[in-house]
Amino acid sequence: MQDYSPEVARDLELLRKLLLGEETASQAPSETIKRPLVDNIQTQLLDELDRHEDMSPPADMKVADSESNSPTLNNPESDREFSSTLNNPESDRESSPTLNNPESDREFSSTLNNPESDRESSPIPNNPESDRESSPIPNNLKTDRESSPIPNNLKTDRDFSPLDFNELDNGEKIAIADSQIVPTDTQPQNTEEQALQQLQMLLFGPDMSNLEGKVQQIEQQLFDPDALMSLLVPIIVELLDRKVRDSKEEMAHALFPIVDRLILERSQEDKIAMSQALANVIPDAISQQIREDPETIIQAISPMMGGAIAAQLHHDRDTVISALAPAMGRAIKQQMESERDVMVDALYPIVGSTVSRYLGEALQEINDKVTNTLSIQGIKRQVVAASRGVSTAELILQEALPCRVQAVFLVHKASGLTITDVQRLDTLKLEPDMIAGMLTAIRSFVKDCMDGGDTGSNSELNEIEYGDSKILLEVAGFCYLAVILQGDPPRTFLRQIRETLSWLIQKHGDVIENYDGDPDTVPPTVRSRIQDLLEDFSNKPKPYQGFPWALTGLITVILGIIAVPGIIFAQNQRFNHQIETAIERAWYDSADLSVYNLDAEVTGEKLILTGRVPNEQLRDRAAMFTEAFQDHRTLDNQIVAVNLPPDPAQTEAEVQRILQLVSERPGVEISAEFKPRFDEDKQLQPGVVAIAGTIERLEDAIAVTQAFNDIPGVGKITNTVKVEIAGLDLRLYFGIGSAQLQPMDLSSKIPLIRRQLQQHPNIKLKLIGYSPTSEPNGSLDLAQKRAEAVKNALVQQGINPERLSAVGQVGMPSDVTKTAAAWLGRSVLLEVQLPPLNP
Amino acid sequence: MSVISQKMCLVGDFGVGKTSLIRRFVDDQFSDEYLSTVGVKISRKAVEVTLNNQTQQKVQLLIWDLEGHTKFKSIAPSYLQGAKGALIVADVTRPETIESLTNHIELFTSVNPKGAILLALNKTDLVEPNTIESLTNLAEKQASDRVFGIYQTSAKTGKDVDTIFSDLVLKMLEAR
Repeated sequence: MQDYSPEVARDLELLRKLLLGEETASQAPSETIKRPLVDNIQTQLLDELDRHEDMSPPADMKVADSESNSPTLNNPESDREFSSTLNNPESDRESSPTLNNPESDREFSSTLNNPESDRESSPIPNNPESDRESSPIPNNLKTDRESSPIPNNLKTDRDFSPLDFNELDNGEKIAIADSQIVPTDTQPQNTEEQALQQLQMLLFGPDMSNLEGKVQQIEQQLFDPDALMSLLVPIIVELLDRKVRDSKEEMAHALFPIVDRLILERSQEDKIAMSQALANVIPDAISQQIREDPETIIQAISPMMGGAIAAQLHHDRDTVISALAPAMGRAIKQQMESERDVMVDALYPIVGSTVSRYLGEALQEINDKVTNTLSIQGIKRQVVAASRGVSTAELILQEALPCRVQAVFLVHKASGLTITDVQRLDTLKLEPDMIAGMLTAIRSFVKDCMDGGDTGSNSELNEIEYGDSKILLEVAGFCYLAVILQGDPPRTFLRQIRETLSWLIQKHGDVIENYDGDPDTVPPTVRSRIQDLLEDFSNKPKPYQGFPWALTGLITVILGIIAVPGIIFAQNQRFNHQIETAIERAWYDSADLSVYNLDAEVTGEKLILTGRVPNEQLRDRAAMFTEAFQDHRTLDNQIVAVNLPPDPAQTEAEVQRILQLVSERPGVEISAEFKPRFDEDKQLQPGVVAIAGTIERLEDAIAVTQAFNDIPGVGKITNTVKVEIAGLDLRLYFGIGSAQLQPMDLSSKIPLIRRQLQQHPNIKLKLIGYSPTSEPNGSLDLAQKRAEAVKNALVQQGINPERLSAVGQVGMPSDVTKTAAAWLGRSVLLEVQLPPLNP
Repeated sequence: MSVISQKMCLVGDFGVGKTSLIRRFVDDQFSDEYLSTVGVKISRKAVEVTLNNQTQQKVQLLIWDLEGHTKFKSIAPSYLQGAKGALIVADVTRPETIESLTNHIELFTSVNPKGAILLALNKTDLVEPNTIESLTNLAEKQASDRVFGIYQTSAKTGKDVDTIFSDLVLKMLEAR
């Protein structure tokens, strides 16, 4: 069971009463007949509504409408459909939405308050005029009236006043209604016209002449768009609502083909309204689509992203910048991580040229500093800087002060317009616009020539020189600084220019970029900053113009400090050289040292002797010549004694010369023979002198031996000279087989020997005992015992036993022949041994 | 009232009289001797114009006289940067210079989309008036939406020279 609003339900009920009568609607005998009629009327009403909705209402269409409506009533199919719906009272009510007209509600409300008077207060008889104006029902019935005769009995009804109508009882009304309906019951196969006539009779009565005016009015109402709309809208709404509830799919299919066209036409007709209608859902729709199918959204939006951003940049650049700025850093960082090479390629033209330029300047600066630091100029600068208490860098800047900045222009790079300029007051006023324009043209010209129109190149014209003047150009994105100056500026000034330009870009980049020639748009700080650049440079302290007393004094002191030690040193060197020369001259004057290459060097407190001499004697002799020059110095004798033996021939001649000399002495009868000696490597070694003969006096023997020993080239003396000392040339004899001293010898010879030994304390005695082979029991042992006996006797006489050596020999002494008496052989001989020679 | 600096360019084929127009405007002089401009020459003239709101505005006009376009050498776009206006000049005695107005207009507009353009049909003293009309019609066909007027000028007689410059200044200030 469908629920309706009270107004709809009430209107339906009224229509039902109007068409069927209250009682007949609930009575079973006539229900089967009346429902199809109601059905047809309802169908016609709905069809008529549809037509009016779809077509304009020309006057000539009226008849056609009625004619076209007529067949509808004959449609058995629609009859069946509506009859089936009428079987359900709920459906009946639902199919009469036109009764929702509020106007009619109000009119009907007074009568509906009394259920008894419902039929009597039917709206049609009450006031037809008001019906046309306020009730939809008569309007919908217009075509019916035109196409069918109006029942006369309805005219009577319409002529009734409410009071008259009320006077009739319900039974009469029902009778009227039944009488009109009975024929349809008895003739179920009546034609449509008959049904319409019956309806006319039922609604308007047999006389329709009075209705013409009303019909005309209704007709006018139908073609009144406002009225028609007010009439149709509730029906359409209800129909659509019901259809949507009943069959969404069908509605959807029905609307599919025209939805796009509907939206398109509506959009063209009223874009604002359409935009407002869709505005609320579009964001949600996009969000939903992004969640469900992001790829589609991406594909849909991506082709226009670039254009959209470009348009937004053109429209509101600041918004785009502020939106992108926070992410730019991270985006670049991520891009560098993911595609480093691409970023490198992208940044290379900028970074490469910038870095190379700065590196070049830095290297040049370092090179200059290194070069100048060790130069006279650099040392002078450092000394002056120290004397003034300023840094070397400041001094360098001061040195560059002959450079004068004449003007500084801040120029708009594209147009060449001067954004602002500062100039020195004491120089010729330059025309900034002309200069800036020409500089810009020259920059463009050079860039076009050098880069060949390559807009990606970042190379710039940095400097223009003319004589000792130059124009420095420091270029940024949308502007450049042109500094006109004379002389070479210090590099610190270049840094100053760059810092100024950086400050300008950071603080007033937008103003500079958008400069259009109006100087009022340029903030005053821009000019003041450039003015600072000019003033900072031109207001540096002037170079010291007076006589540099401090510098001169300082240099004098430094030179003094450096010179005095030098002079002292040179003096010492000269004195030392004199000493060295004197020593070497002394050596040269000496016959034995003149042939050797000796050097003397005086170094500080040392006197150093170097060279080579054959022996230690010459080395010591060389040192002897320096004693006069040593003074307080320490002698460092580094002369090497090579100890090379002289030529053996010279040594031999020297031996013979000495032999001749000593042989002239009395008591000396000797011979001397020199023999050269070689070691295992056949190197010449000091030779041997063999001396033989007799020397009477011990002193002569010693002197002769020493003389030979002193000959250069003589390393050893073989001395077999017999020294004939009185008392030591005697022999002691023994008995056969005896080693016992003779008592006479003990008393005479032993004391004699003792005395000689005591007189010559430097000599030693060699006691040689003999035992001839012919002696019975003779042996070496007996000979040794005989020598020992003499030794003991001398020791007993007080002679140091270390001066005595005892040896025994078997045989006869060399000077005793074998034929001599045997007792001559049983003896002890004394052999004098000379003391060691002096080295 | 501050003086506004504005950059404008004279563009056109070689020998159409760009330099002569500037010389007439700046120095009020004319010479029949032809001197080809090499690269760019910048002239300056202070003008005062009356704006639409009836206020006076002093303008320092920087006039860039660009080397004329030839078949061998085109105009460098970098010279056109930052110009608020351009006087594009053609020679009425050489119709081909009018035909090439389109190229000059497109070049200038591509560099300065908001720049104002006036067309000067120069040397009108050398041709008959009826010929000038037909040439003006030809020039109109070359014009774009940034072209605000076509003037028939003569640097020799001074006809419309001051007018075209002052009108261009006005358009340039309006376009700011």
